Amino acid sequence: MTCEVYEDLIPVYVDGELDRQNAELVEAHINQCESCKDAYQQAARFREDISSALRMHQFKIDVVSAVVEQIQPKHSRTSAWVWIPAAAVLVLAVCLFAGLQLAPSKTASPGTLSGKHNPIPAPHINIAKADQVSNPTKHMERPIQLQSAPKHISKQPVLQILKAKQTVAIITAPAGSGQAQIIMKYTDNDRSDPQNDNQYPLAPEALPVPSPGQKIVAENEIVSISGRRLQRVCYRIIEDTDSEIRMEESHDNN
Amino acid sequence: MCEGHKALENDLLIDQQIIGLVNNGKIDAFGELVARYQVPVFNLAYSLLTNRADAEDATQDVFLRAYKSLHTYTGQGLFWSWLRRITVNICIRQAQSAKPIYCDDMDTFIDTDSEVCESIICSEELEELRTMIYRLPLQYRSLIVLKYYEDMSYAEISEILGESVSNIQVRLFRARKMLQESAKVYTL
Repeated sequence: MTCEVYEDLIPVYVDGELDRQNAELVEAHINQCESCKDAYQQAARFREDISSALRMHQFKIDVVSAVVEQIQPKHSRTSAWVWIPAAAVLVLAVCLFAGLQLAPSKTASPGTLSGKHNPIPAPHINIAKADQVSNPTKHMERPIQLQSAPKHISKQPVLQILKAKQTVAIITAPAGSGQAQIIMKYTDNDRSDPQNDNQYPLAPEALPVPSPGQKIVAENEIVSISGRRLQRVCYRIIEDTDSEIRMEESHDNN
Repeated sequence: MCEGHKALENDLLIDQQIIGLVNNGKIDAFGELVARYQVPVFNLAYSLLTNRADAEDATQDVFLRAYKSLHTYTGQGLFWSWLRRITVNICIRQAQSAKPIYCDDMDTFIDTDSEVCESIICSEELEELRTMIYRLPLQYRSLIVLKYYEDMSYAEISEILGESVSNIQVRLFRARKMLQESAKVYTL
């Protein structure tokens, strides 16, 4: 090979990209040829200088927060704007549903709450005192103490309310953080049965957390339709005018 | 086993642990990966784009792309090699769409007043050489950066750019020639 050929091979040799056979030929030649040895040294220096020039400035940067912010799910930044209206819609829907199913209307479809095989006749309103209902059968809802609704709740009973209790929901998550687990606890008068003191998570099991200054109130009522005892639960978001959380606070309304 | 190899394996292990967390829904753990690789990604992007603002945009794009594609990283090879491929692709696409530079423009960048320096090149001359590299057209500059800044082999460059090894070799030869002619320091 001539020096011209070696001069073409030398930069590739410096890059470490020549195969072993050609690399050995180049090494042998530059040890014999001064001109090609100079070319090799210059090429090696050129490579070194290019690397140094490109590495002479190492810039610092911090894009961690910018990147992490962009990969976060979008809903977490808008949760407050989504959940508050959603809470209102949910409460309205539950109340409307309960009202439609249990309202004393002649056109109301019977049997909605009774199951497929046991239709209920048209509602018959029977005003009765709570203490007139006794010895509930096992399949019926357990009787609970009657409690007057708080003054700031507009409550218009449309059915015979045998017993009812209004409980302030326990919020287990901070306001605006998403959903809260609603746990209602109610007891009957019979303390001999320890199971009566259990906690019952009621559907819906989770409700949106109300905004600050509000709280969720669950009204749990035992109503009577043509002699059948049914349970109705209504959730409302009310203004939290009371700083005290009313839990397990109940009294007879009569 | 040498210390460098141990450190490399350690890095690989840490990367894979973080990636496992991210793939299991720990989104915040991805910030650790960004913190570990943002400087090399940015400096590679800067070398290719030669502009700080563009390089910063590209750096963010690289990590966003990496996050979306993280499930495709199989753990074969270094995470940095995978991330570097994304970086090169994004930067070349960004440079091509923003301001195409052609080889014909090279004459306007040649500095004929460069002094010949026989000894070890001084920092000013390194700065000059860096400027020359940055003024190369993208198709040549990218090869110089990948070969002499990233120390990638011809085969790796060929794979990442989707071109043949012989084509890479020829273009790299031309790129070196352009620099030698412009700097006049390294005339063979």
